Amino acid sequence: MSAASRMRSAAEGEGRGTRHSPGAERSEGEPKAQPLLEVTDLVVEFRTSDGVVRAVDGLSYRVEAGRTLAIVGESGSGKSVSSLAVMGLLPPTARVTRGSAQLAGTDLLALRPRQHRAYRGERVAMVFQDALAALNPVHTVGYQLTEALRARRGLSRADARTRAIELLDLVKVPNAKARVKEYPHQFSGGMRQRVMIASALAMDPEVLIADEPTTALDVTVQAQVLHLLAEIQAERRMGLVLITHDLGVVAGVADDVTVMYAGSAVEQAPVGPIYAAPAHPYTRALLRSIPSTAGADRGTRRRLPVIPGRPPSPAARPSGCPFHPRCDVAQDLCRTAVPPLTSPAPARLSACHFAADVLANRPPRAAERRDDRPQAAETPTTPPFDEQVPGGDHE
Amino acid sequence: MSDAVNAAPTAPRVSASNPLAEAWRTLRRRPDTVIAAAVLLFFAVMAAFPGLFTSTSPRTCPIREARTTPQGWGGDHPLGTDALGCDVLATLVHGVRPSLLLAVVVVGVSLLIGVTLGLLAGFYLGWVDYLVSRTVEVFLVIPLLLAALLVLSLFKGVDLGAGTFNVILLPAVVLILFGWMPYARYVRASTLEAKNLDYVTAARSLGASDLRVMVRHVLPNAIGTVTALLPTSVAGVISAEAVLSFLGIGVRPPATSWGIQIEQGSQWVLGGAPHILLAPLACLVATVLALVVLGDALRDALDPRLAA
Repeated sequence: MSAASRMRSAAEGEGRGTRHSPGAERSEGEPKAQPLLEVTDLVVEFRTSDGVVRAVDGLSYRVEAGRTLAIVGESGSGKSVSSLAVMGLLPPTARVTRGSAQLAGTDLLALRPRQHRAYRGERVAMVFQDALAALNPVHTVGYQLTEALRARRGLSRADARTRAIELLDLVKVPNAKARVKEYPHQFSGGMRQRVMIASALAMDPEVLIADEPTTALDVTVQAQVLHLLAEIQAERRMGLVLITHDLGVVAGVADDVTVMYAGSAVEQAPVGPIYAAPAHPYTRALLRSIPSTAGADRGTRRRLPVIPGRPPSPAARPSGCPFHPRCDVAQDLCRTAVPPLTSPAPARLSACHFAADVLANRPPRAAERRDDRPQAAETPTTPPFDEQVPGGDHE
Repeated sequence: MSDAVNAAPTAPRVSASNPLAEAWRTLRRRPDTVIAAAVLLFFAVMAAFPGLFTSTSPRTCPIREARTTPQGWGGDHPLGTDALGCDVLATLVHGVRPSLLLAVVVVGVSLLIGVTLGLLAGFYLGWVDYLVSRTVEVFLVIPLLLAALLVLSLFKGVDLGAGTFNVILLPAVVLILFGWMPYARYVRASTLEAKNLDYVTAARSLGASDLRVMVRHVLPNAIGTVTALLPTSVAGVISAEAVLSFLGIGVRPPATSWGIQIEQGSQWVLGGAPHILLAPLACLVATVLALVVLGDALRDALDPRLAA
């Protein structure tokens, strides 16, 4: 499989230029390509002392070969749990109660544990957030890189060593030959994350799920690691699922974005359009709350808009639209009716009753005015030293 | 300049190239380790070749020479004689083999049983854990002496022979039967902790089987607490054997052991012959201390986090 896919990637390698302006010709309308991984209507529930809690509620997404899907959300939005479900690594208290995850025609979620294990690492692999914790301190890096290969493919010790050095070279760890014999604690944070990535790539998986791969790293190292991930993904035409809470990370490397809130997707779109014109108030609020230096040039200082309140606990989900208590354009309808994922424009999906209005950046039809909302946005979370705020608008 | 900067981190890397060489280097840097190793080697040689250390038979016991005080090297009884007139040095030397063998066998088998059960219980929980934990509790509440008496009555009249292993069979069975529980409890507790760590999930995400996750990833990180127990367990076994021999199920006579010697010698500490107790006690203390020191050094040398 790997050799063939590499050939393909060499032939189509030029196509990668679309990265920063994807939406245009690639995924307008129905995607033509067969998705590598297609998650449909995933529901994951946890048994807790307070009863059953839904961590993931009807999530769907698809990953195609050679494309990167970013799943963005605050902590607790279910983004990590959904990927653990796909991997079959949920803790014993959690259960997948609905949905499917099709990987090349096989529903991973319907597999028995033993069969699911055969897919892990081979077809779909995972990179974890904290590489120091995710590497076993008592084994050398070389051992951990090739443990699966030796166990599953019966590689000899010498072959495994060669392969480990290859893998370290692949993720650009300098002096790979000497470093395979070292232990994780002898590596720096960025190098450890590279080792983590290398071990996930050891068996040439088709889909790589990276769960906040750069959160534990310095900003400069973050960029390097992301760049490396993007490069490897393009080279091998893997499907990459990048889980993150950082929209800045998304902009650089993703092709498509799924924004999650309270266990379900609120907006799905190619990365370019979603930045240009978000179709969900939550996405819009997230984008507005990214600090930017643009204001400094103009000599004006404005308070950074924040999203008031906090994400709902999965145990106490608001009625209607889960985002309505924090939404700046919420209407009466939002308090009672759960908005379905609708398509306000080609290739766009948004779970908002007023998606078309939000996309067009105009007040919702039913809304009279939104005058009192910016006040609500200034709840005590904002720092007191700022000057007068001219509304909450950034446009 | 940049060369010097580049060279600095590579220097320790070269020395770390061979983990065995590195372990040896760490050991050598600590003289206490060398002394401890020498002590253990000394007793090992004594166990293998008792003839090198004494030509007297421990079974020649002229009662008129009872409780002779130590005469120093060159005398007939360098360490004196015991209450029955047997040579203390000879008893000591011939007691090394059963004593150490018993300690090694008991600690080794208990460790094997305890670690296996503890690992399974902590890893799978559910009914496996229920079964193991209740069994541990049952064995913990049965008094050792009661159980020893039971085993004694079970094996009464059974001729076990006089081979090296045969003489320690009874005390070994009793001590293993009641010695594995602490290991199981410690390993279970640290397995519960280790199995939820990220690297275990990471190993699973690469398709590792349960067995591989347990043996390669959980166990090496869960065994630490238990290794600290081992040296003191050895001492415990040797002295517990003395109690068992008092009941008649210790090392089978005519073989002797340090435990028996200590037990007998303790009666004469205030009776003018403290050497009967002190000689075997000193050997026991030396062995245990050596094990403690070696255990520490081994842990430091093998744990990559501490070696740095």
